[in-house]
Amino acid sequence: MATFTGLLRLYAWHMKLNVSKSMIYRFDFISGIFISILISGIAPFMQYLYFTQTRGYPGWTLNQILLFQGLLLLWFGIRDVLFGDIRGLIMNLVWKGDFDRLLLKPYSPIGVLLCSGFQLNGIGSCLAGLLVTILAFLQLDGSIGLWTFPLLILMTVCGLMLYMAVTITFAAIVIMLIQMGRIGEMFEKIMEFGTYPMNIFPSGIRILMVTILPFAVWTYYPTQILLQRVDHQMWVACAFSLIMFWLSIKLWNRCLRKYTSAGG
Amino acid sequence: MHIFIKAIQLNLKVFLTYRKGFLISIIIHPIVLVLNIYLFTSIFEYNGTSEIKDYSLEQMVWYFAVTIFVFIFTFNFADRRMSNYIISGDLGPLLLRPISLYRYELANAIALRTAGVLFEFIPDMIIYSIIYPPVFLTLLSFSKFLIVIIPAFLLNFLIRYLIGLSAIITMNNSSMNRVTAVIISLLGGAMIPLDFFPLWLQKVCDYLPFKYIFYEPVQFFLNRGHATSTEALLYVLMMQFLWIAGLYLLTRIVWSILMKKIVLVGG
Repeated sequence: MATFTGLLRLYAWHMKLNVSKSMIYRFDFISGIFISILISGIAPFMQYLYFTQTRGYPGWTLNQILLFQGLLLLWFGIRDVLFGDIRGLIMNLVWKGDFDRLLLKPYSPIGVLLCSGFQLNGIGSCLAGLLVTILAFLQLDGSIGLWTFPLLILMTVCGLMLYMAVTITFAAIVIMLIQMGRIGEMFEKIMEFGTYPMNIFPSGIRILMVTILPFAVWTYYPTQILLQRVDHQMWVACAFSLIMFWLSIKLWNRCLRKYTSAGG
Repeated sequence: MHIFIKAIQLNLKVFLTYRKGFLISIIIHPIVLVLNIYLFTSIFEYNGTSEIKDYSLEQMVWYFAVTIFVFIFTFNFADRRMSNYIISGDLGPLLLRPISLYRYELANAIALRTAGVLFEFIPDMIIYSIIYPPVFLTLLSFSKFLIVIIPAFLLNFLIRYLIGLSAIITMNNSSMNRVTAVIISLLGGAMIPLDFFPLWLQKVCDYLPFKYIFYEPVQFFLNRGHATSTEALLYVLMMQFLWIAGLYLLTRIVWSILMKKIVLVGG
């Protein structure tokens, strides 16, 4: 418990540092927030174009897919605010040989890394996501039940655990291979499967998306909760998110034992 | 010319030193292709049609594959590099070099893309063709694509360089870089084919340079619509060179204005 509290304090300290750093280039910071809000509007616009020019995706109406897009933006925003800069940070630390310093700190290196990712710029995507979600939900005349918010919170927690698992796996690979500039891109491309409704994929991919790669917890199931279309596979996806987190910690510990230092 | 060759050699050496990165990229790009195959097969089946906006399923899947090829041919970091020069104070020493900053950045961009074409485009083209054969592609359409992609590279470079010059005023231009990348991708047709845009927006895009970076080269590759004619090729080339001339002139003017005001520190 003391370790967890210490890591939270460390995270809060990193938050303050990031805000101070952002304020040095004030014009870039302020324009960055406005720009990220504007850019966030592009994905719903593209979906709007698809749906007005075609019949769209099977099982989804325009407002339902806008709700999905709103939640996707919100997820991207939360992810970027909490862990936005971690992958770049890990690669920089390992290339320059600075990673070794983390081994001497009083907390576990992966804990320190996960506490270093705060990025205020992601707030733009959060705001845009919230706006699109609320508007789409109102358009759908959706209703909120007793279990809606608890289930959404559960999905958010599982989503964060899964994203931490992805980040920890990334870090484990980087400390083993040192210079792999495109690993980040590979992770992004794989995670792109989570940016589309799961039911448009064939059954093989659908099974993957609730088990080994349970990306459905990020946006698909939160949307289904709001649309009151939840199925039992949601619980499987939640369980696998926690399993993936546990496995990533195991992988990290194993890679850390084999780590022989680099850069400098 | 000597400096161009040296810069290309340097980039190739860096590329070959980190071969694992190259191998990873061969794995990455087909993932996008597979994703698009599933996505568009589902959309086409649901729409119960063999064509959407005059794109066949193969052309639609390849549309997004070819946009990746266009990225490989045209991408450069001139905007980000300029900002880094300002922040680190390296701009001063660069201005004292016997080569202008513009030519130095151009040499770097060419070198970067040469390595990209050799080690990403060629393997990707082969792998994609095996996974999902481009039945529409002919030698002529592929040649047209290669002809228009070179001015597309120059256009993208000039836009990025111009944005890079903004760093002389703002120092850190990362948000400007982001918005430029998104505008080029969206209005250039890299995110969604321009045919999906409303007519008025398509007309606006006709008067902007971005569609000549992405949309038009992709059309020649896909061998569809107007892109099958020689007149279209000549028209696109003319528009590309007009934009290149205009943007080059603009960079000269902006550069001369900024050089009168610049104050350098650091280094």
